[in-house]
Amino acid sequence: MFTTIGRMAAISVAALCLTATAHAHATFDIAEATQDSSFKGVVKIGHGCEGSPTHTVIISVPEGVIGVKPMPKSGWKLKTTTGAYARTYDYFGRPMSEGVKEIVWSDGQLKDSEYDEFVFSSRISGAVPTGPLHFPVTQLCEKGEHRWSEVAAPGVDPHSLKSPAPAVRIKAKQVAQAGGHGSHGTQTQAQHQHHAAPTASGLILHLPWTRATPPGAKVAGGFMTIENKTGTADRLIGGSFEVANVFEVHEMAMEGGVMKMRALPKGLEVPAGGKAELKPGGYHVMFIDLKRQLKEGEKLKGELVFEKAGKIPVEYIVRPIGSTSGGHAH
Amino acid sequence: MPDPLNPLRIVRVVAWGLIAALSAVMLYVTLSSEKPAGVAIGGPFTLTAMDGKRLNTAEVMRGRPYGVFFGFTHCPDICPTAMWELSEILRKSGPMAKDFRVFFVTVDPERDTPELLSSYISAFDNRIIGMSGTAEEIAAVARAHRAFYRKVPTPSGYTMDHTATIYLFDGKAQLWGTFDATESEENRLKKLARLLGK
Repeated sequence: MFTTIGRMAAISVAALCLTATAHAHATFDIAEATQDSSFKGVVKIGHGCEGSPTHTVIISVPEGVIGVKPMPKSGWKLKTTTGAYARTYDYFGRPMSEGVKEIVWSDGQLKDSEYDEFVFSSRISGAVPTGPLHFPVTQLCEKGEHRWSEVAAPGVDPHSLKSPAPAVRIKAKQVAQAGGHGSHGTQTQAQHQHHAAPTASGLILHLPWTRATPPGAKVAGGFMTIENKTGTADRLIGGSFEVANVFEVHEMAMEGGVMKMRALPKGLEVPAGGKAELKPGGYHVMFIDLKRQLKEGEKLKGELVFEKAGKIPVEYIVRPIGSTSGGHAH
Repeated sequence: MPDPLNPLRIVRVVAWGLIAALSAVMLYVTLSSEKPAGVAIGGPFTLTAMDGKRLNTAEVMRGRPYGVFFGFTHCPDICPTAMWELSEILRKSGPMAKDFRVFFVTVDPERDTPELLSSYISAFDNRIIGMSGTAEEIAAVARAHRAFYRKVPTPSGYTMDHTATIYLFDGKAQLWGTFDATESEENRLKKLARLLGK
């Protein structure tokens, strides 16, 4: 589950690149798939970055697309990042709770005057809602980059976007669905909210989560992995949470049996091209002076403030007390 | 090269010093277990329980093993996690642990009133008993357990550094062992079974 986020600067850069080649977005060759069936994704890259050749193509796999296998390409290095899914899916009768979340083809050479395709096979889970499903794509060139990561907000024409994320239209499976609808409904809701999240630019918040709190507790910790796909370091310096009065960025450490926690006065660095991991026992954002108890299963909104990227909206899933990761219940 | 005057570094050095001291004391306790005059860690104490009444651990336990944890409710991570893990261990231990109790002693009596402790701990196993008291009482109990805690300012108020180990005492209220924060659940279950003599 990726929340891709936006920054006006990146959009304007993309807009400049696009004036000449507005038709040549990164897109899917076949942009239609069906719930609960296999999907071969072919992403078409039609140009470089303002004439500069492309050396890396990164595809982010949205939640609900499972069993992903990328196709190797001669002349390109292939790497995948795996991680926990937000839930367990049924994969041909076998439970599947983790898999490929990102595919990176790198060290290649694709001239601006050439065209190429980047292919993966996958399965669209039955939990993916109908409608557009976005696969943010990053294209890195010798000079410059394209971030195909914008998602149209409700009521906005996707064609008006400068740098749209390639999308696949998901159709309903033509089988009557009896039973189990409740849980699908819940997942659909989660899916929908995550894909509707604002977009564009180099910071990705992976699976933000927090924990249900004991009654009367006035604090809670928020966790996620912040990935920086830009070439400049950024810094998480603050934020807010809808049911807390105070928000701080903290570091925690167990040192020889003693638990210590410190506010980070300068915030938390997210290195260029790297990640900052907020997880139990380490860095976290701390929600202080909670207005109410956090209940398992809730989704709560907030905002993160970065030195460069500015304000970024975030939605936390509330996991059970005792959870040690955002991926699954304990 | 770390700045030698970095406060975290100093804290770290002091903490390791305390650990070394605690380990030495525990080793001494182990080696001198034949001699009742050895340095005692822990022992019975009286504090205010969640119902606001004074509670003496020896009167509650009457010669049965028990545990002690130092924590506080304004703790976003380790305390609820430790209490949840402990609840799981108690649950999985079944009937043999029915009379086992763990005293959750707050190191933040300023904010952790008996009422707050009561509501907080209601989320966990009912064999966990919240204990509060005056700052002096808490300091005395922590000292008796060689537990470390201190107040640390944050931009919006303060937080607490604290020993996160769960102390285990035998039926004579003598230190028997600990649950370390990084220990596996399987280990803890075995330890508890041994402590309870099962």
